[in-house]
Amino acid sequence: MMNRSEREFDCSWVQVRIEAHLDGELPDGEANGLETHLRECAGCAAELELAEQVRGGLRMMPLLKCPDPVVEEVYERVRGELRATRRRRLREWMDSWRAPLWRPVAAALVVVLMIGGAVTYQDREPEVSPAELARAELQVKWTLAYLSQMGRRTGGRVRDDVLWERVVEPIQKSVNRVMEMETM
Amino acid sequence: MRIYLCLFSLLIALGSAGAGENIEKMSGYVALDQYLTIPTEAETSIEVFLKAPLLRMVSAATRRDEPELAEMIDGISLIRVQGFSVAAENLARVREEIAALAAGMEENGWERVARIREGDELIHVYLKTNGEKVDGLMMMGFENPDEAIFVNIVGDIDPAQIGRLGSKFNIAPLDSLRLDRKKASTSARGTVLEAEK
Amino acid sequence: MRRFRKLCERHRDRVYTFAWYFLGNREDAEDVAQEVLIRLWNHWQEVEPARLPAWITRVARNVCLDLLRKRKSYRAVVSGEGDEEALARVASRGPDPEKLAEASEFQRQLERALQALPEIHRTVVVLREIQGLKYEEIAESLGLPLNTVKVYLHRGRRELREQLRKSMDDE
Repeated sequence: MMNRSEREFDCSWVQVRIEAHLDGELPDGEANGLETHLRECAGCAAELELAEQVRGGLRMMPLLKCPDPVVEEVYERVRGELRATRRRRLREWMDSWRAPLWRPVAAALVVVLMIGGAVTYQDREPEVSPAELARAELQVKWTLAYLSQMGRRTGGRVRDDVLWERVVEPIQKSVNRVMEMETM
Repeated sequence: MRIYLCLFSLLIALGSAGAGENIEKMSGYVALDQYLTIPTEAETSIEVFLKAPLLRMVSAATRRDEPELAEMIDGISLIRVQGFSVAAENLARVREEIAALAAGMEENGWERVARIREGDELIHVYLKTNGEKVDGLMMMGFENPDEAIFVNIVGDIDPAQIGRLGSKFNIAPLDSLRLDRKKASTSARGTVLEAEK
Repeated sequence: MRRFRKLCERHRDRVYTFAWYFLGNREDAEDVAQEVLIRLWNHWQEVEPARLPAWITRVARNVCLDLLRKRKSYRAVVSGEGDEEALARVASRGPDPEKLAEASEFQRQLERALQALPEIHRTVVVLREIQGLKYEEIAESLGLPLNTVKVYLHRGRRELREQLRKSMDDE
């Protein structure tokens, strides 16, 4: 019959405590019991050796250097934001200074423009020559080809990210729902 | 005060009568001009500005032979492409303005979905979604170290459809749209693009 | 701007290292590092200087988690349910080839096993064993009790051990 101490320090008990033992966090009594077991159990000794290898391997993994272009982009963005803020504040200051004088003039100008716009109807179908229409078609195709090429170069990530969750997957689900209804 | 009220009412009335599609109010539109100052000496490499009326005409013209293309164009309100050269002394400023543009777009709900960074090339792709719909697509950055490019598509977009349709069109011959700023580099790029297919 | 640059220089490598080992590839790590530094720009003046390192670690982890949530196909591959295309994409985003060339087979397997750990165990293992943070620092960053951090660390290492043993047994 096993005595109480032998039952405490069996393999399942030891396996759970190997990591804590490696880190020196077991109380003395438990540490001694564990070491005694390891002297007698080849299986658990091998586990300890593997645990040491894992911890050592992790600690050998190098600290990495963040590539400079990554940080440079951040600085560019910050400088750009600061510039845009300054520009906006200057605009706001100038607008506040000018506003009282320009209000009636601006209002009159807008009315004249709106009258002109209503008469000419900006968005009526434009008169274009066949050559201009052909060029427009070419421009559409170039844009699509360019975007498609860029899309392929990103390795299909557009499909997997926002597009998958917000566009492709919901569409697939609704198509599946329709198909289910048709088979019922 | 009464004069301003009358003028304002007249304005509204005329606005409703005369206004068409206001592209600038559409959520997928990117106001490039608010962030970007194209240097005066910059040479334009490509410029496309196709609004809804002309796009409808293109759609009608292509419907018989390319119905899927026509259907896709029907949902688009604007295709805008702007490419220009950037001299070395302006490079830092233009890059900062692009970065500020990106920040502004992200604040307005645009989401970056892809990025290409290879050597001197840096391109960002953004989408503006509205629930399940995609209202806008924006691609911007530097294709070459000295050429900035911006592509904004506004409307009811299906990016997968764009990819599918676009892959049918061979960009090399279409590249004649690029202005003859640098003939040698354009043709070289065309060769590379062909090889990638 | 000058003060912000100093902060960036102090923390950039740490953020990048964490993101690289957490996500397993350079491209995603770069995206995360950039996003974290941008959030630092937007918020650094609101955070007590003494708490900034912990704040940065927390933000880095959150940004990594956001990225993982979007990468459904990446997760599917980790759990073994991905399609061929997704598998190919993940393989192409694997660890840096130059690093792989130098590492032993054991190290390579260890890196792969690290990617398969549950997120919280992976976080603690990376912060403690690779980046050398103290338990207290990890606890503060993650908002966890000290003993919980130790438990997660030990569980993480044990899971790594089990995975490696399984790979060795399969060979």
